[in-house]
Amino acid sequence: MRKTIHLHRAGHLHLTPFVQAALVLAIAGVVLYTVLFSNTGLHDALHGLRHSLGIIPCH
Amino acid sequence: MARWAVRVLAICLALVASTAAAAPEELQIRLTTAVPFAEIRPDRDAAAFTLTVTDAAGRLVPARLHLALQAPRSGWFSTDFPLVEATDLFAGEVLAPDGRYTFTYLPPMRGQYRLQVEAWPLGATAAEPTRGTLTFTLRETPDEWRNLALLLSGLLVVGVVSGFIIGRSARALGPGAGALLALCLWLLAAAPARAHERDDLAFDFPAAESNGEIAVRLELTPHTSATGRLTEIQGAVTDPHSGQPVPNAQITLAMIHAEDGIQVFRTLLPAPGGEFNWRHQFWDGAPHYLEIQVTPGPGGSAFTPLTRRVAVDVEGAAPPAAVKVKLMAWLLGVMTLGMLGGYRWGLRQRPPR
Repeated sequence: MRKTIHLHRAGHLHLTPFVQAALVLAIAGVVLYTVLFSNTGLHDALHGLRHSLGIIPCH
Repeated sequence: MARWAVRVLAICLALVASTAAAAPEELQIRLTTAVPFAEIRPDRDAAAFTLTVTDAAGRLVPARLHLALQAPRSGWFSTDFPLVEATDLFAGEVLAPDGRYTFTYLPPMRGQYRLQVEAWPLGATAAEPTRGTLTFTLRETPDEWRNLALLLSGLLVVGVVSGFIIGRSARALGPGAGALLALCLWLLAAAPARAHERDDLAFDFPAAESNGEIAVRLELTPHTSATGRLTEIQGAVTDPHSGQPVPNAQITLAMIHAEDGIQVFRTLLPAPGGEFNWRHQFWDGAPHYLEIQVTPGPGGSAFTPLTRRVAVDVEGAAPPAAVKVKLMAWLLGVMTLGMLGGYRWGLRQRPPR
């Protein structure tokens, strides 16, 4: 006797292109803010980079 | 009657002539640099600036000068130091004993600087000085524009690629993007770290030093300096035995960036009554050294020169939120443009279902 097993894909998420674009921009925003503006432990490591870009405000 | 008229006219002419003789002499003040302004790189090169004071005939005039330098305003984009823009960078009184005064300064940013000068001829009793505002413009370092172009190009490419992927396959965000987001959020949430090391420096004011012949006292107000505002540096040269001021000593005041070792400012200061002061903005939020050298000046007593170096704590402050928001909008705007182009491209490449 053969058993047929059906596998269902769970958690399928369909996002419209607009929402996907918004998410990509949000991620890019967080990355840019972290690298260019945040005053966390990253600041010291990226201080030179920030000052080499001409328009990135620092303290 | 005619004789009276002639007398009145003569008196009037004499009054006019005496007024003209008492009027302060109009001085010409020029600002020059050892290298052309176009070659001075802000935040990189300290340059020697020379003020020359001459009379109408072009002869050098020994003068007392009051200077105030103001930082540029930014244009469309912020500079590296938005809190410093349009603020006073230094102010104080100096001497040009032979008609020339030279100082060394590392300018912080690109843009047009304004140097306000008031000049009094030495020895003259003119109450009203000659006033003038000298301007000079510095350009941004070319390397920085190149780096910015690279950043914007990178954002454009990322935008095009992500727009293409969305347009072509409508694929959901991959786990890599989620991991990157999580990493950034973790870094953002990390405990704030103080930029620039200060632990090995002692910031002790007032500072005092003596070599047995003279004593120097140095005071800073406020004790902790900050970007965007002037700090007053006051000092006095005294006889350590009598406590009396030592007049006409020559003061050399220099400021050195403690991390880079770069001399960011150097000037000679007059101390006719034994006291001197200067107001200065430390525009980089990092520790600096203040170095003072006291040597015998013209007309003063002889003594062994004395040098004292003290550390100055300079607090940096976060840039204004509005500046950051505006710049983020520009950067993400570039990326959005790339995404729109990439999306349209991806739609055309989408395989038929």
